[in-house]
Amino acid sequence: MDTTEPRSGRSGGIAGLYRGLIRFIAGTMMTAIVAIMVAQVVARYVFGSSLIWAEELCRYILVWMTFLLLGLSYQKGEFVTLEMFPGALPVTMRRILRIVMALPVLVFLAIVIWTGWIYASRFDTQTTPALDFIWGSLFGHPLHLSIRWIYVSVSVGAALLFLHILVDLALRFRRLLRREPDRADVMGTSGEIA
Amino acid sequence: ATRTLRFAHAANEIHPGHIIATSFAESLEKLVPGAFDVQIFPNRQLGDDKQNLESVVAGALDMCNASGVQYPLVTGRPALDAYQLPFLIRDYDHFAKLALSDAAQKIHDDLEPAGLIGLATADIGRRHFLSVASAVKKTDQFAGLKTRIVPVPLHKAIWEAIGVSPVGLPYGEVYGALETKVIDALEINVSSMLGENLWEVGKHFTLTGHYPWHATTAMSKIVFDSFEPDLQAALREAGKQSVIATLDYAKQQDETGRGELQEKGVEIVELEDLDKVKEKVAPIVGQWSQKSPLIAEFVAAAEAS
Amino acid sequence: MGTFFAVFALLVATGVPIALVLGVAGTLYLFLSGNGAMAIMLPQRMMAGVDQFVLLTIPLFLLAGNLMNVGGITDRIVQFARAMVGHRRGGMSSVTVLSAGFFAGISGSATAEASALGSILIPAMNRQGMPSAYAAALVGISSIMGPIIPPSITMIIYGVLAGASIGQLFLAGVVPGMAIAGGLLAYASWRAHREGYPTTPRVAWSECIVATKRTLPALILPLIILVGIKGGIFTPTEAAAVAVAYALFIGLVYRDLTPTSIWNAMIATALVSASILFITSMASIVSFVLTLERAPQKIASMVLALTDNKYLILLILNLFLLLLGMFLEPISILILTMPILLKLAAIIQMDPVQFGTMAVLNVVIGMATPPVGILLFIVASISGQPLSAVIREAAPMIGICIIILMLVALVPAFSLFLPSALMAVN
Ligand code: NA
Ligand code: NA
Repeated sequence: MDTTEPRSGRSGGIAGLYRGLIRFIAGTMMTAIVAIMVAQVVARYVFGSSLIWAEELCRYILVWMTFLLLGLSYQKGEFVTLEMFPGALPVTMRRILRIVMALPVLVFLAIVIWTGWIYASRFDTQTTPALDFIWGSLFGHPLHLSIRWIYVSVSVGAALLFLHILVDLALRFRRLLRREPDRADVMGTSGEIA
Repeated sequence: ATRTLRFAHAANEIHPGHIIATSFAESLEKLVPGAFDVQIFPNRQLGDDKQNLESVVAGALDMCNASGVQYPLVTGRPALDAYQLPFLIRDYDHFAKLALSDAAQKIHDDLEPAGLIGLATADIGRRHFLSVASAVKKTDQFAGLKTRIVPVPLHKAIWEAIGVSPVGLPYGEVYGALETKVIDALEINVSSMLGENLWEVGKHFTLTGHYPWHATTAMSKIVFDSFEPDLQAALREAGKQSVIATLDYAKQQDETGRGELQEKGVEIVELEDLDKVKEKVAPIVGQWSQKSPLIAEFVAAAEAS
Repeated sequence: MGTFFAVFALLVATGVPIALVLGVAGTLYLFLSGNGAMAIMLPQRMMAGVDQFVLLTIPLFLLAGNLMNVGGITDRIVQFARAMVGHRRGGMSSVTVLSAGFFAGISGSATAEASALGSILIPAMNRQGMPSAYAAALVGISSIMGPIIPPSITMIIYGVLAGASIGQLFLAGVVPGMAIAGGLLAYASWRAHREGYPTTPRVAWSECIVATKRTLPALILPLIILVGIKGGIFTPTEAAAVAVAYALFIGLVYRDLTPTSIWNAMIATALVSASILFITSMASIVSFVLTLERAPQKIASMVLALTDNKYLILLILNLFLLLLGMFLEPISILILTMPILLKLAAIIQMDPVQFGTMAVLNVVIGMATPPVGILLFIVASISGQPLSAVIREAAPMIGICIIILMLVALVPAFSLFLPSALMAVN
């Protein structure tokens, strides 16, 4: 895996701001997970007292991190794809196939965005014990943050992925019309599994 | 026509948490033969307690049985905590009396605004204390023991009052954590000691009986409302019958299970100064009673019976 | 179920990312099976596929490996392996296998291993006169050790699905992992003698000692992990965070890491783990629909209707997993099949730790089998060789791994000896 990310695409404007923000949140969340889990080991093993909220909070961070990064991860070509068959097709066919096959994916993501929002809304009264415990020990009263703000990550992530695919599709469509060559960097076969 | 009811829970097939589902299905079949086909999904097949409960609230699943401790979390309605106030319910017989009382019915009814019809609450195994290094025989010995608890407000309050050092850990990692002594102790029931083979890694079992482990069967209100009144009555009656059947099973498993544990080399001890622990946690009953008049009423009913 | 598999195959073949294939086909199956009203559950299942404490090991073990890689540990491991076996005939091929074994001890993932080692070792073998396709195949197949020798993300996932002890699973992988190394070393020597690959002079003792010293911190990581878990200092999940802390520590001590390189590694790891966790998230939709349709029970009784012979069931299990491994990646295979296969494992009374070792080895071998073999993709792209040439070279090496898979399946002690000796109850 490369750790020095090549700067691809436009880096200015709203897109650049978005990428910068997501990357910053990603780094922060990753750092937070490491810090909380190491703190938990030290607290329990060295001081014999446990951070009772650690496990739950780490899970919430992981969930948000995963869904928030889907779009960017897709754009970077981290999604594993079998390119063998499309790769053997003539260029125009391949582009048309890509565009056609994006449709069921977009429909699926739309369903997820919609149901995700409804699902999150159903649990407005459910709170997050971990954050209540932290708040309680800091300020003497629970935070009462609704679990909705964790659950809504599914919708947000699906929406970002939806947008990324849509932009990708628009660019492909333009190249198809103008008969420009493909950019090689989108939807590669990298990705790190197991 | 036969209506299919999908019923999910997280317990394995020998656990009382499964009996509450099977006995419900059997009673229902006797009451209204052929009216329902209850499909039971045990063993976390469709999700853990919290997920199953959420699915029923969302109206996607017909019914579930989940730990009572999850209901206040998921629905924001605190009353089911009443069952686990420390040392309030004395034993299985006392539980049976209370679970079928008016005060209990009101707690079930209180779930309706959250979209749930409470049908049954049973004790699926009274909780005791398992320790790894040595037996806890005196209250002082709880001090500082790294004890895995469910990280919810009520349990945190109880175990901090007793003096242990509560640890939050996913249930799936408990066996390994006891084996390697990441944690020193666990509050647990006999059926889980046997079902999850915890006796292999913890050999000292103190009979504290601090609270029952109550599990509640709930049905989606939308689904319930779609049935005719006579079927609704049958569902409620089957719920009540499942409470009795489950308590019988749990009580018996608890008694024979202790013998089995002893045969497997587990030392079972009493707490010499149980009153001291009771004293430490006594204020919690009052604190929680203030959270809901339903809890206060349940406490009064428990103390009067 | 037939429609589901047809749609699945169509989507995979037309180049839709595997994660999205799982989601789209799973959702379609939900509607086709008359459970469309349960679409509201999709977000819950997607959450459930990620919202698990144990899955934190995925970003964390990746990050630990990543930090070590940025910190130059890969080079040091190769130096060390060269000092030990570099003088043999076709020495770089032996160095490759040995390096992969050591790297497996710090990495929980096979793909991390293939990309880190491939870029260094494929050109190095090539310079020593070995064909690039052979070099690529050797790196790819050696990377199978990554998730077999502890630590291992795949073992942890299995442990959680099966409720098996992760410490025991880690130990169970040690001997089979070393057996793979032994088998590949033997094959590499045989090839080197047959093809007459050149030898290089033995490295001086002083250089050996320097190389050992420089590599030692990385080599003791698996020991730290096993001792830490066994000693009750941390849980297997937390071990992943400890590995990160350790990688940061030695990186800072050796001044190989800078705040910028650490920060970049954090971001890159987060992006990669998002794509993996998206697969587990989507796989959880499919496994939900399969459970609703009672597929595990149906398939289990279908198998039992065929035979109740323990060895035949074992054979069916392995063929089934190898078949899935041709198309899917390890974690989603485990999520999809464990509800079914654990039932069968219980029926033939196989120990869950032995079964887990077998299943994990099986699905990891699938990473190196065509048509979808991520390890083959990686090494083919690094070496610039056509996939077909790499596959031809890889075939006998996959054969070696399958022999070891058979040993794991048929000889309980092969995997269970270490865990029962070191983590015996009482
Ligand atoms: Na490894
Ligand atoms: Na494959």
